[in-house]
Amino acid sequence: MAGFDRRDFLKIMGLAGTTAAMGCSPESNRTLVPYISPPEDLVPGESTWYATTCRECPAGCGVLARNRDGRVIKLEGNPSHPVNEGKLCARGQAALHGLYNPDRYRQPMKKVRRNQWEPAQWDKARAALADRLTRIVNRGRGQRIAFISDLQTGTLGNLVHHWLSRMGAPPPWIYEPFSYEPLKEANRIAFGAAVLPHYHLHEADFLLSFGAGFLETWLSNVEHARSFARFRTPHEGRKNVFVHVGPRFSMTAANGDLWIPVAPGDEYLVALGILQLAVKHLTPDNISGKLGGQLLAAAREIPLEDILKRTGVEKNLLEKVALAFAQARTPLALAEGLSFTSPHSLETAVAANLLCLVREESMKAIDFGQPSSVQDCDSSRRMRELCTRMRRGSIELLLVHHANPAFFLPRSWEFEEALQEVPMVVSFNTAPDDTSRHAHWVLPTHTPLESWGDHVPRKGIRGLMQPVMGPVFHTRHLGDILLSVGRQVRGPHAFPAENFREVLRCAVQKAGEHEAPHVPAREFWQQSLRRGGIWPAREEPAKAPPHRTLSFSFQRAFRTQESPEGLHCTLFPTVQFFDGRGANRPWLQELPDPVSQVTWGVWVEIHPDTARKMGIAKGDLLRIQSPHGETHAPALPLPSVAPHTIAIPMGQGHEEFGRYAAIHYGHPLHLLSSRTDDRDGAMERQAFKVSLEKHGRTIPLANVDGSIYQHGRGFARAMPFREHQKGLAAGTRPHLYLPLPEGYDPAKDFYPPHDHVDYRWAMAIDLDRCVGCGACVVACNAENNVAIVGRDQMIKGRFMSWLRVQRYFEEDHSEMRFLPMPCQHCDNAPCESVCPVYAPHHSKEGLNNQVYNRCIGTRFCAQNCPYKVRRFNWFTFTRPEPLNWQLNPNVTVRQKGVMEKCSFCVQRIIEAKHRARDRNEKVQDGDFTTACAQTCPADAIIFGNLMDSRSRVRKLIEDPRTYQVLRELNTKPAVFYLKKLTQNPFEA
Amino acid sequence: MASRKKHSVRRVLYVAIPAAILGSILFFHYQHTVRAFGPEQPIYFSHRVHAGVKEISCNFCHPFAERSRNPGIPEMEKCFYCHKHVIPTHPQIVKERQHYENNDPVQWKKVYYVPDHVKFMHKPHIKWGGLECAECHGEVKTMDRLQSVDFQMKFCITCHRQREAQLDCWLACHH
Repeated sequence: MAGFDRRDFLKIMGLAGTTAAMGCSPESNRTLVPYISPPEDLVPGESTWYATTCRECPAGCGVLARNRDGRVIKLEGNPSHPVNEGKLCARGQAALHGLYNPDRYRQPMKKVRRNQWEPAQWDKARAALADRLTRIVNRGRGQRIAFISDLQTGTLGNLVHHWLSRMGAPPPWIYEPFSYEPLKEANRIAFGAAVLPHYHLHEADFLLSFGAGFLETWLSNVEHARSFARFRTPHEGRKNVFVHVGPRFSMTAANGDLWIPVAPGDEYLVALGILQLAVKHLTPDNISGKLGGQLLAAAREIPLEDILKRTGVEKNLLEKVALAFAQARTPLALAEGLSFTSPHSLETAVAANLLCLVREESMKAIDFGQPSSVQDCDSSRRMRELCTRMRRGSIELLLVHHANPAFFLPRSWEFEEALQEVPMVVSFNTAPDDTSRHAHWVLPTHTPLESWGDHVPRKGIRGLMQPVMGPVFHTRHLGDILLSVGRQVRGPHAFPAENFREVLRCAVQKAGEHEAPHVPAREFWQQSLRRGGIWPAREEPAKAPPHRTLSFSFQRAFRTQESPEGLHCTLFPTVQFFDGRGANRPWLQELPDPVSQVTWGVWVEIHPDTARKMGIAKGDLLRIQSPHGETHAPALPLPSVAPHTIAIPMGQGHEEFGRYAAIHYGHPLHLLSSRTDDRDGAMERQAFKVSLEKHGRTIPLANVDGSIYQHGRGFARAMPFREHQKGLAAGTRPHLYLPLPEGYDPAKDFYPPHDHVDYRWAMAIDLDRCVGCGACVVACNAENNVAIVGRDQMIKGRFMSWLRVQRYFEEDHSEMRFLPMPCQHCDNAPCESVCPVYAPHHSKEGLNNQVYNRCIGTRFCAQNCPYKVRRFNWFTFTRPEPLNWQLNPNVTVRQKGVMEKCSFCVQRIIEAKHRARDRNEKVQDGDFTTACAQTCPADAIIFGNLMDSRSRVRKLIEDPRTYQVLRELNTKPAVFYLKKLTQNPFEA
Repeated sequence: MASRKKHSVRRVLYVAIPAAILGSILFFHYQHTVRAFGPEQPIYFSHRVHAGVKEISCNFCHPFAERSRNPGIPEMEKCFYCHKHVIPTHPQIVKERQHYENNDPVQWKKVYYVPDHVKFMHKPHIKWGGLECAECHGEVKTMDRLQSVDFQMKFCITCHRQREAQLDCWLACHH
């Protein structure tokens, strides 16, 4: 087209573009789809809550699932459940990402060749399984069937047992990577019962932990966090002391008054040292008789000098800890009891039990009457046997349900090779993982949130599960599959129940005959479902162990020699991934690790001095070699380990686990051998050292902390406990700039005060209660449709989470502090005054509104915010189907070019006000709370109305330890922090 | 010669393109007035007949307006409370019955809506504001095909100002 130059083109396009922009909006493509017949108890636009049980780990917390228009959008703890009392951890919150995971199996799958699958019909898949089973059973070779399952305690577990026995097969292999065999064995040695008791931390007045991460993954972390918060709350002028002994300054250790770093495997020596030194302070009342003699003999087996020499712990310090231990009324010592984290885990667990044996009162905190169901898991030794049988070709059919041994077992076990020897592997998984990729058939099952069921976390508590929404995909319940296949193989009379729900209902009603004989069976079933389970009304006092005795020798461990070369190595489970099953949940991947603050990846913690000496910089990819294997991970210099130790997290390094578990390296279990311990049957963790070698490659770490220190800015503050007591006694008031008209000072304030009507919302965050677990962050993400940005954007610092739990080390590395940082909703908000379009706007109730549809994306506000809590949408972050089903319809989904930030859950404020108006009254304190405060296991976050003089938040901020972050800027934040209370009872 | 041809091409374009644009503006303007009858629905349901002539209360089919954010649309079952007996052989009722029996819900075109960044709730308007449905939706009793209302912010804010209702951005609508 001659003569039509660029200039003309631009003119015409400009004109055309303007016209196009002027209007002519298209016809709506929105549709309204009616129900054919309405489901009962559904009001469109209103939420319905269903009680169920969290199955993200064996702890079995009670859950209330919020179903909105047929889709579950949020999980909250069940307040009446005895395990978690209304709280959930980050993993529990993220169970929704298991339900809506886009990588889930959508229908049965048949493997056609290696790594190639094709979808199949349910009838065909079931027939394939039934045919194979019939052939095996008819030949009487039922012993050649193996069933591996995660922990199934209730009716489903019984059904699996029954089904297998009808097939003539051996009982199932209950495989949980965290099965605490050393702890069980240590309890057999010291208390005469190979059980995992229930620990009441709050009954103790002095707590010693030997590597036990009870706030992270140990047995039942939400329950322990609640219990620990009670233990730590000052009362009667004292605050109980917690000492952590272990190789890593973990999240749990950071909540202690003292961390004693030792090499992995030396924890038991410290315990023995404490016992030996405590003896002279103990009176015969405390320690007496035959047991006392046994205890002393055991403790003195290793001379104190040797202990001090080997561990490098100062005698002076150990003496003081021993004195505190001896003076305590109910001291409690805990050991992690996982065989692979540190060597000599059995010795450590026994040594901790020794300390518990000293005083009979300690038994108040250890309840043998309510043992945890985790003790029913099979030991690694039984898995080892299965592995051998599989390799020998004596397993013809392997059924795997929700367990992932191919991921967790070290490469030296050659489990994947053994899987190849099985002619037919059937997986009942929900999503592809390392084990199910070796299956020949996948018969996908419901996730726990779509299932009927029950779970017994510990004796006496039976949590019920019900589908909290209809199935997302064409999956079935394992119970239903087993029943129908069982009927096909053994005839209709063998399994008469119609479906699994009926089996469950009968079981619960039968339990009702015993529990509540006066309630009609149907009613009992419905009541139990509504309540979320069956449990005793009152907590029983702790039951004593069968006996207290001891015969154990520590010599074998002590005599083990380590090579002088190399570094000690500890492996640790993280609060976000547990044993690795959380790695396909994007919320958990994007949740910064509490200590390292790393997201989306694996890392090796190495002491900065050691790193400097070895010429290792942050992000350097390291080859970590042990005598048994190797693994790879980028280095993270951090003072969270002693100079002679490195620490590697577990959970990443899946071969296959969906798009979000994309880190295929860095699984630390590969450093272990294939042996099992002959005493406790656990995976053996030899006392080896590792060597580090640089690959020469750098892998950027997506960590969110700018600096590990506060640089004297006093964001996360602490005060000595004694000083606080004095302050309380003297009636000292904190010096605050209140975000209320009474906080107005004409000498300082440029703008006039804001008038509030009825409400001024505010938050108090108690840093002495906050344990740093990050549950609040995930709860906030779920409630407020916060985007997941992924690793690349994370590295660029473009994370979107409205709430961060910042971690700061003190300059001497002796203390770590956590600071949850939401929007401060300032009265003098710096963001409001710089926006050219008034998108940040101060509301009548004190909220700092961010009006998305007004925002034009100048980012001035983020620049001017001293708290750095504003988040900018660099892209329109989307969620793959069906992850978007989780979105909260009450909150706008933000798009590219818009600023956003914490809203104090304004949608909940509105709902609460409507509820109050229905009752013709104002919102009362405690009527509602924000998502973060709702889930906080330690009750560190309190939300409320500052204008209500009786509200909890108003009362809390009168505490002398209240402060406002960056108060000197006169922003008058509405988020008040209560200083952490430190004490050092062991100071020289 | 070449330059004259070039010139003429340009002249034609300068006339033709604005003309086309003007034409399209007129066309879409006309379209828009057609749209004022509201979108065509898969089943020719008449609000005039149901709400106007038969005087069925709005609440019968939209029962949640007073207690939820959404008023709800009638489930298909509800149509046949009456139409099982009333003109069951009418072609549109037969069509509706086919949908019902095949478990295939009718996909109604949405007529009234606000943008996604507005969190409108029916309950406070009906229950506490005492508004009549027609105040926002228009005289549906007179309409066969529902006519959409252009809910610009002015529409809301004028009324909110008059009645001294919520004017706070977040606490009211935009959260």
